[in-house]
Amino acid sequence: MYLSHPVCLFPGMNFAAWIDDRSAAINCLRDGDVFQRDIDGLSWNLIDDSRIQRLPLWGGRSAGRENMFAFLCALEVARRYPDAINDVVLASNSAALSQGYELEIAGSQDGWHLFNVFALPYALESSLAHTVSYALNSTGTRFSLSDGIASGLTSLSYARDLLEDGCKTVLFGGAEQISRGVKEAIRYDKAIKKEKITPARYSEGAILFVATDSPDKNTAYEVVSLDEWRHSECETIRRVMFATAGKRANSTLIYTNLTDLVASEFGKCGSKIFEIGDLLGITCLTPLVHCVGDADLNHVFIILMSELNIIHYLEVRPIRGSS
Amino acid sequence: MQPAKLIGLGVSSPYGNGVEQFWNSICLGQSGMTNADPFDLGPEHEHMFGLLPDRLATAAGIAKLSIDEALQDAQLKKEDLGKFGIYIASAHSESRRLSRYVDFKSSGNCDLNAVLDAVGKQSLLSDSLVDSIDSSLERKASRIRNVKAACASPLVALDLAIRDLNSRRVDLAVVVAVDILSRIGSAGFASLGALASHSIRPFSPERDGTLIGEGAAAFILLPWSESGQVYRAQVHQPGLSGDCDKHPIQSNPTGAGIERSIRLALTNARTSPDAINAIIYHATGTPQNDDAELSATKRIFGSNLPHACALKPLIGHTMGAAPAMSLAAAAMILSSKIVPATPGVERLPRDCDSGLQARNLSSYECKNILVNGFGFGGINASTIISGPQEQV
Repeated sequence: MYLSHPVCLFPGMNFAAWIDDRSAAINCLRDGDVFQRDIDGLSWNLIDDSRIQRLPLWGGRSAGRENMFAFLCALEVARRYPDAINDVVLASNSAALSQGYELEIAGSQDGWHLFNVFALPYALESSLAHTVSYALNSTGTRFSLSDGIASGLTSLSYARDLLEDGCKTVLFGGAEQISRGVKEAIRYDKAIKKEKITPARYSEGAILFVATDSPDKNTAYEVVSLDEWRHSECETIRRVMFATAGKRANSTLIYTNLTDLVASEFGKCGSKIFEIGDLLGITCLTPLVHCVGDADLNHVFIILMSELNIIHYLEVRPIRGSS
Repeated sequence: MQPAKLIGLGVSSPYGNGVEQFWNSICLGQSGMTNADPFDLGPEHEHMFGLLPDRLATAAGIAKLSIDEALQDAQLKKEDLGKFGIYIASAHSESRRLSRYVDFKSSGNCDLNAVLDAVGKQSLLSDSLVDSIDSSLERKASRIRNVKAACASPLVALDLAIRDLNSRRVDLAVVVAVDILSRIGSAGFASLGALASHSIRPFSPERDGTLIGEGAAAFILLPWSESGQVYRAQVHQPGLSGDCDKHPIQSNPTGAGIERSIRLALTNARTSPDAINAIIYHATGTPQNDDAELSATKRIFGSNLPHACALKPLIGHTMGAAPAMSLAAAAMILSSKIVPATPGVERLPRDCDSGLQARNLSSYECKNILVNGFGFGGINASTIISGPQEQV
């Protein structure tokens, strides 16, 4: 299984440059001010595609934002893969929360207006896949998923399954947006878990990849391993990590929220553990953006435990010489 | 791809809990609709709803009841499930819980902060539905899939389950679809103008919308290669398609996408239209959707349509559970040999042939049934369920 170069959209970046301009994306990721920044400056005219003009803001403006992030990225994917993509799997942990933003801007306390705002976009999570399919002219399988902070990796897992079952190319990834609803959710989540509320740099945007069964000119990574276990199987992941020690002796990037487990066992191996701005359900895909084109990097490991106590494990090997 | 063996079935519906209650009521033509206005939508929105008898039910609650019944039907205990996956389909998750957070009535107006706070909690409700189901199965599932494909979600979840069973990524699949009504969701449908004035009238020239209901259905599936277990039916891999050639979130009015999903379902089941003995339509009763579905069906089956039924006039459009309710009904058609009547068909014009029956069709040997389920935005899904004796 092979992954294309990512196509991303983050706040503050010159999205016309896309991720081919690696430094722009990374600067955005590292920018501590992303929470306050927005991409409301998006101009519909910057990308010459008449379909943007026809994109309806159905259900109020709330339907537009994160769908729009993904839509814009999908147009770029369509340029790179003009006729190949059929199946689409999109992830978002907070699509249903877009309404929150809409409520903020609605400025209305009229009950029926709020009903409209809430209920019309009830299918937002699936409409994320609709708008991307539309950008790709894809008429195949399409659906969205929500799997907490592991959403991005789960979409990759779905894409892998589809490839194993005979599909040639599958688009996966996701989009998130910051809204007041998101902020409330994060606050509530922290509260119910009785965890200390730590200041986080929340971000928003979209990350899309194309998964293929054979490498092509857009390929950036080969997937070496992709698996998932329950938390009760921590010993399994310890064994897996132990088995990868040789690889990690070379240049390696590990992204994880299992800091205690991984650092205590393997931190001394020189693995790099870091955090970047929180893109909610697609944060777990950002390490793949981070290391595009890093000539010193031999392996990337992403190890993540979701809210459902499922440990997701991804190991990829960068492909040299690709675009 | 091989079909899956259906070994367990569970249903919660406006008739109450249990497959038997569900099926007997449908065969008796009993309406599960009520004209109570539990959501206080106001006099201009007096609609019927397909409500569960338990007005305080949660999505997780009825999902778990359905799973328990399905496991009992399969004569399985939770501790004996082995390497299994959970495939969850829901369009609204715990929307009723969300509604409870917001007391619109007492304030006389909306407290924006309360609403926003509730929206914040809602993000967790999708996860909480999944978490609750996972917990009820003792957190032993090796794979959990949470599908968001609007009202086509159950058949998309079924597709993932059958793929995983075929590849042996899991040895058993628990597929559960659930949706529950809430004040917010109901008011949304009402304000969209999508609700019918009196009843759902599939394919009628006078149809004026749908009516919403709530329910859950659960299925226990085994790989086809698994032997030694008595099974109810074989469920084939669904055909899935998307409408996006005209509009990002509107279904294709010609039914072209629906036609693709049905043809793909036939291919997946390695069968032909003339081997289909019955159809359970999605049939929302909305003007455009019914036209598209019937047009596509006629292009495939010609003028000689199989016998058919539609559940929504009886229990309402159960949204993210609707195709699962249809699949459960199809399993019961296979075993009971009854194709139930669809209310209101007797008033259809003669030239409006859809295969729907005005009276129950009894002692009908049905071998292959087509089940349709279509989601908002043009997500099309169809599957074929066959009797256990049919050749694969």
